[in-house]
Amino acid sequence: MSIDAATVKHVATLARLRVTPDEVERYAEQLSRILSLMEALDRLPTDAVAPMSHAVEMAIPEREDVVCHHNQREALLACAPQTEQGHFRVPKMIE
Amino acid sequence: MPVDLARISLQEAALLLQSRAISAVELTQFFLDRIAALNPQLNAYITVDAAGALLGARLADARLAAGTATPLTGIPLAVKDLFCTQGLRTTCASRMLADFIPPYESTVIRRLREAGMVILGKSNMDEFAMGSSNETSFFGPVCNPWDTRRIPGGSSGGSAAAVAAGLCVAALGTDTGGSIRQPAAMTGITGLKPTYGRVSRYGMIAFASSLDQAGPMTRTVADAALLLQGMAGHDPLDSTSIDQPVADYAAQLQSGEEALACLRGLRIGIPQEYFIEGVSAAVRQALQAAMATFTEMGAICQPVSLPCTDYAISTYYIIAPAEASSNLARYDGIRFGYRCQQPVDLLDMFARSRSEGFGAEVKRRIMLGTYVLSSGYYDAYYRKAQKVRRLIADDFHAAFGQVDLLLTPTAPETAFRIGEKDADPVKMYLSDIFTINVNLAGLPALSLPCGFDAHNLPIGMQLIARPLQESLLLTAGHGYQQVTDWHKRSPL
Repeated sequence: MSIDAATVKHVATLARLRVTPDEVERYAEQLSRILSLMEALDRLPTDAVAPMSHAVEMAIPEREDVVCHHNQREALLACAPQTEQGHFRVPKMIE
Repeated sequence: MPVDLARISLQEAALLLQSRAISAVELTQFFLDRIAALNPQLNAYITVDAAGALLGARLADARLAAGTATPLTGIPLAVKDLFCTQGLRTTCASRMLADFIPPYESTVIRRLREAGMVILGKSNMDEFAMGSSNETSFFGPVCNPWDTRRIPGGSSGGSAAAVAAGLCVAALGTDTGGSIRQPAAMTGITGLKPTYGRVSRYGMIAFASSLDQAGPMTRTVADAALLLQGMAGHDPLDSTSIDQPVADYAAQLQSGEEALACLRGLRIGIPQEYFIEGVSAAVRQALQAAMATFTEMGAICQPVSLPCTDYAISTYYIIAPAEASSNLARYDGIRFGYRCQQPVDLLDMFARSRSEGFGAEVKRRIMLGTYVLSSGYYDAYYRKAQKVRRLIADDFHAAFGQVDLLLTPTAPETAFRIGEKDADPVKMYLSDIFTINVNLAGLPALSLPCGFDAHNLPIGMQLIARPLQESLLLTAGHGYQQVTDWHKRSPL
């Protein structure tokens, strides 16, 4: 499986990454080589195999619906790169 | 003092503290001084918290005096910089989190603090735990104490180097594809990856959530048992945490004749697929010697087959990047983490913050993961890999129908040189070949030293057990360390 420049750019857009022309070339080459490793899997018949998403077969645990995290607004806002009047600040979205 | 504090085991340190032969403050200060002297060369720590450590040590001394101490009270610990430590910077070795001070505590750290452990600081690692050599850290590579031109393994390379060089008594690591065991092997220490779900992931910065697991990195198997005791157990804050009682790991470890008795009749499987061409002659010889030792101790070594072994790398490098690309979507420059300068709009802010905040290997895995999950490729890659994952897990299940433990090399070769493989991701990925299957299957595994090569570099072997059989791993590993002294050798 070979990945071309257009695919790299498309995937970068999906991943919200900005790639330079240099990186486009490098990713195309590296990802193609990594994906050629993956072709080995095609040799293995798996039609009758159920996908395994997790190592431990267990039901999703439930818990009581109780208030446990009280107001942590200041503590959480303190982690943000930019805040204003108790809110996260982001660039203007709508003119 | 007759004992060399830099080489002291956790078990020995606990005895010295409990008999009041040394105070926790003295022991902590010893390691802080040693870190100040040696860390500039090794780069094992990203952050050293001298004030916090000494405060913790004073509290520990009070508990030791009051008789309320645990075996972990007053023990100086290095913490991989991936566990959230409340109020103490947690970077995940990334520019993205270079200034992140967590407002909450991970469960593992909370438990160990409650047990009285002293946190010396946060150890270096591959960025977001993505790497096998500790060369992807935003804070620079870690040097292997056995040869500072070489890598210490990864991703828990800082923790491994800190234990090997005597910059702590014990350390915490995390293991998604071998990140505890491979660096343990490369630095001549003991590392245990518990069963998936045995140790809480709450407050561990996520890489691949179905594979990530925390574990101890120590000088001896007995130390790993003591540290695991403090870490393991059910946690309602982690929905994948196993709700089953924790064994008394240390109590089951015997010494002398009784340790040997534990190994009598134990069936140890040797997977033939793990002794392939890429395994160096020195590693092969060391493993053969280890088999002979186990046989002399009364265990029965027999060949077994894990036919899907060859598919592990392909499967892992689909599943882990897929989960990573999803987990790392949270870094958007809004709520926490790095934000680019003067973004023109929201999309520009996302793309530039992420491109400037993440390093090359992290971006490569995000790209790979996004690709295999993208429309049109999901079934061909991700779903296929999930199916092969089951076949790999089934292989282990079948093998454990015949034997009690599996014995393999931890890595195909000893520590390579810094810069030797970092230009070629495929070559780098192959260094995980013997460890990643265990994560895919969710099994517990132990790496411990079993020899040295001609360059005086340590060699590690891996023991693998059935789910939740950490005790059996520890018993076998401890028995081995009763009759060998590889784990007692020191690089400095």
